[in-house]
Amino acid sequence: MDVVMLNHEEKDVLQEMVNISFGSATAIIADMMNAFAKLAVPSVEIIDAKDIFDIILEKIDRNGKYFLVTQMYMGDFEGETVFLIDYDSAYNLASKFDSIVMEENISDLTLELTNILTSSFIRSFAELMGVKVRFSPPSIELISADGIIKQHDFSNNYSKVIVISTLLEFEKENIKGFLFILMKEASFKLLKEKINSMLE
Amino acid sequence: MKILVVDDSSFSRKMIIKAIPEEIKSQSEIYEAENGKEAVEKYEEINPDLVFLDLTMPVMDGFEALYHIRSRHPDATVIIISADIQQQAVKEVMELGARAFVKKPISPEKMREIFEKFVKN
Repeated sequence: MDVVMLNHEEKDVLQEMVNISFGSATAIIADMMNAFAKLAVPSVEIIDAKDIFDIILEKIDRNGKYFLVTQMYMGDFEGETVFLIDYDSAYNLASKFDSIVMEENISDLTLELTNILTSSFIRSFAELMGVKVRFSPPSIELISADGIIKQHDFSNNYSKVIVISTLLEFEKENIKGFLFILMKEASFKLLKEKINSMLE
Repeated sequence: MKILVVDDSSFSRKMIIKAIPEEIKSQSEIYEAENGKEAVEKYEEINPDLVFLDLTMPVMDGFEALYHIRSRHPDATVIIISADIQQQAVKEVMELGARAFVKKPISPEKMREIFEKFVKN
């Protein structure tokens, strides 16, 4: 995990790109909910895709239940977004929309909201890079930490991952989630090139 | 003219400074702060004519910094440049006395507009 893929200046640019994109994406959700989300500076790291499961296990409770929402993005910049949200946070999020929260609604609402969040994020991120992206339909599953590792093979399909740890505070409810932006090697190289052109 | 640029990202500060029109930059003293607390302290020290302030920052956020600055200096000209574009965030900073709210990243055209609107007059 200790791989130097971006220097200090490049990381600073990446952090700011994430802040901008995440701010835009959160605003859409907050305005839909007619609520105000207190934004914390998201924690951003970039890792090799082969280390993704170590990072996931570091961040989540091994006995917990999680919603895993995945979606492919395609174009000059391509890869997959993986949004991981714990069951309680998903419940909190759903309860902001519906006064009666039912099991099946949690999954539907989580899919809908995280789809808006991640696709807005990627769209804004790509816009900052000056490229266009399109999306495949998202999918959601309720899964355990072990299930994520056993049933998914992110490391073979991708080269690098931007890991974004977020905590949104909607009024009194905390919504904790992790967004993983998986990229192919060519997309990582393109991102690095774009970051460097911003630094010039 | 004294300009204070407040943002926790050095890249973002650089981009804001880069967007300031050259003719203004050449005649100005530009100061930087990394968080709201530093901004409040720096404001007392230099008494700037214009402040560009981010909202989401560690130590002290832009909302609190704006509150402190405007409580002590009701005429302070503070422009918010932020990624937090929630309607309620915009409303809150305008109520706290910000003169304008600009979505990040700021373009040179938008920056020129700000100087024309809030500084030349």
